[in-house]
Amino acid sequence: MTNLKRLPTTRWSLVIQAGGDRTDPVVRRSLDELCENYWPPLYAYLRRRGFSCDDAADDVQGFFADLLGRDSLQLADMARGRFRAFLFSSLDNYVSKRIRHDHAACRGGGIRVVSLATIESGRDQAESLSQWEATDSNGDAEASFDRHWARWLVSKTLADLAKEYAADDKQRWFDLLRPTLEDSGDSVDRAAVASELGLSSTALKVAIHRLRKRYRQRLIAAVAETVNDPSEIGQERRLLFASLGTH
Amino acid sequence: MTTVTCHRCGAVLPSESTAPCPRCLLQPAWDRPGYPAITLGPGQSFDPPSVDELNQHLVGYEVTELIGRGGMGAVYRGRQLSLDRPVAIKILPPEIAQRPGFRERFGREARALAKLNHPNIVAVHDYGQAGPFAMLVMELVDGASLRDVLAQGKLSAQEALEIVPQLCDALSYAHEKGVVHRDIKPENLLFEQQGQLKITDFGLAKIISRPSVHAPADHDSQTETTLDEAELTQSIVGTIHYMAPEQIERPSEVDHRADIYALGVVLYEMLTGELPLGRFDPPSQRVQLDIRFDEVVLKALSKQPQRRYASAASMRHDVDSIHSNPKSSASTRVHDADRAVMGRTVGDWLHETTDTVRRAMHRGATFTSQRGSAILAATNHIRGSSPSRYFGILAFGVLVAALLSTWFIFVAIDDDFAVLVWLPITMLATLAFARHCHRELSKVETPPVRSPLLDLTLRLLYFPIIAIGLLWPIALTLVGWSEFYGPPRDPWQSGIDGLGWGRDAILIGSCIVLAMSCWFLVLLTIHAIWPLLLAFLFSPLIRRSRTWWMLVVAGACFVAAISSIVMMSRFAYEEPALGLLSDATFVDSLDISGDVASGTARPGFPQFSAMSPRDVARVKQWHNRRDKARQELRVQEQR
Repeated sequence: MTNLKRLPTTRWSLVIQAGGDRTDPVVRRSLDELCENYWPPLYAYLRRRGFSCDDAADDVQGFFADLLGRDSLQLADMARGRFRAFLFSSLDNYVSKRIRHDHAACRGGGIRVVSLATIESGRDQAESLSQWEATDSNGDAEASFDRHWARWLVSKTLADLAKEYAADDKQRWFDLLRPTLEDSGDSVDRAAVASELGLSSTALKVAIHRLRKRYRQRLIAAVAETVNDPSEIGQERRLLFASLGTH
Repeated sequence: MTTVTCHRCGAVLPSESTAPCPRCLLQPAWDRPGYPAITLGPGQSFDPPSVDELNQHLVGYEVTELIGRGGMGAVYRGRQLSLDRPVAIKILPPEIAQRPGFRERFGREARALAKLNHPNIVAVHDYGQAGPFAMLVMELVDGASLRDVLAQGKLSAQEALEIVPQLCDALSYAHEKGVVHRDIKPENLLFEQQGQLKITDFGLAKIISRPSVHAPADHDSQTETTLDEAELTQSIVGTIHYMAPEQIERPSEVDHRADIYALGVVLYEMLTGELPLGRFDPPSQRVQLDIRFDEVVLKALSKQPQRRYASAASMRHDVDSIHSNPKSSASTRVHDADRAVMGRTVGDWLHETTDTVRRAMHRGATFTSQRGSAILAATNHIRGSSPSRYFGILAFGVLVAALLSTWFIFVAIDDDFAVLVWLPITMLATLAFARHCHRELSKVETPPVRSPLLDLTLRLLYFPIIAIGLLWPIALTLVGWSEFYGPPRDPWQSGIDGLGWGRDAILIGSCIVLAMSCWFLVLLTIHAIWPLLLAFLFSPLIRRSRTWWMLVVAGACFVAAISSIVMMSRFAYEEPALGLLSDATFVDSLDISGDVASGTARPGFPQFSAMSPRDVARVKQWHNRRDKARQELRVQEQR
């Protein structure tokens, strides 16, 4: 386990280590960035629960405002260690409280970290995320949330990777090689891809390996962002994988 | 909204979405840990320093990330600040760097490595000490290793043919410079982004292993002989599945042929996706492949170094010949047909037999292996258990049974026709069986061990085929001669006839040589155009054919035969002054000149090419007349 200790400390673990003390600027920034990156599954989840587009957007915004406006996070909230679980229980609390008090929750008090513009611009993406399920079939709210979370994690990783390739002027490479991420590549006509990219078959395999390596690194990093201890990465990944298989 | 499911994992996907399946992407099938390469060496428990820790020890370089670690150290991505170029920095474990005399040796080796300048070898830029670690600065190859490429499945023959020549080139270059790699394995073979191969970690195994073993000159022979087990273990450095037997048994005797062996393992793995462990099949049995690969791989994987390729260059030559003379469809088809004919049942049965034999031997060997190194014992098992004897006895037994059954038919049924049918059938069946045994044996034993009894059986079976196949022109010439000219003259007759016999003998001999050389020219031309046909027919007996030399020799025989016939016909028939008696003189001496006058005298030696049936008839007639005259002469003499 020695090498695990050396993995860089992730944002969520920073927050946890600080005991949720939001006065620390590092913690504050980490949490802000986490929220910025992980709001779409929340939105999609609320949409699946039957909220209208506007309601869902409002609630996500209100929830984050509430969360980030607090000076300290409740340690009890973080008991399960994972950012995902923390968000789910907090959001659930927030929404039920909000419904109970009929919009009386302290919505306007905090800073709106996730601006309306961000939500508006990302709404299509988040909306498409919510399209995955016809209905919230088995009624297990947490399972549904986990599914949205897992899908968001994958699509975010892919989008980031696409950006990285585009920055290297290799958008075409990414588009052609992306299908090889899903399986061992037998559904991809490798010869055609190789000739399209002007690569030998060995060079194509090198390119595929590099793409897979980068993808894996990014996926692991994305998962690592949201767990308390790096040793939980594998378990978190397995949990998310399992959540996608059972519905 | 309807839903569809992912065809790979069955997860639900929205129907109108073209997005990839998130479940497949979250834990892709390719993202599985590969099996770890078992590396022997002193750095097993090496815990590489963090990037920050290492940066504190380094001057002139900046380390950015750890990109690999193994039993022999760790590799970091870095930057050489002075030249602003990316480099790979290899760190060796402290327990190696702190050995007495390491620094001098390290410096010596590093200088030798820095002299290697080849497009397929990762260049060494610098060496030195970084705190407690020894450090080697190398060219950074930003691509993938062959291990990563193999993780995407085995390579096609074409891909292997592109890679192996680069490998052979680099190795033969390094070997010429006196540097042996000692740890060729897929992890050490890197590909650049454009697919060019680069070998890394050249000679590192030598730097890491115990100095006393590899530099015996530095120590007296006493030290050499009293190496205890721990020292011996430390002197063995390499990756177990890619190590030649002698690398484990006698690490001090390792030379460039150990690299050839490792190259064979890598080639086998590239082609089949598997390691050649224990009793392994030739590559063409595992995958659809040109059978010429088998020869290259098996030769490189010979247990005895002297039976391997003498150099990487000669291995490249053989691989190139496969490349330049692309897979004729026959080479694989013949093999398949061959397999189909024999069926798998006989092969399976033989496999089971040999398995039983090997298991029994393994049990015996396990008992003895309890003392001494497990690795040494393991290699001894493999070598000790040879089923060649059983194959030999089996094949010879079948031959004897076939011959006995024929004899029984001959005696009991007494029917010539039955014997004529039965004999070839049993012989062909026996031949097929013996050849199958031979093939099984070459599968079981690498390098193929020859069983004398099996060889004898095969030779006995092949002899009639070869004899008939090669020598029939002799019979044909003799028959043709007596058909055209009657039987040759009596050699025991003295006097004038003696000369006549000599002339006949020379002419018959020349004709036989001519016919034989024509036949061999035909055979060799077939062989030159389609080498696999004869090689397939006689494969257990043919080891190396020198077709072109044989073509030259056969051509020379052909020319000699033609010229001797021409000369003999001129001297014997037209130049009586030279001492050989022409037929005209002969007839004169017999005083049958009347025949000549009546036009029945020998009509001159006909040209072979222009011999019409009429000529033949005339020659025959003349022969008859001459014989008659000769007889009359004899009768007169007796009187």
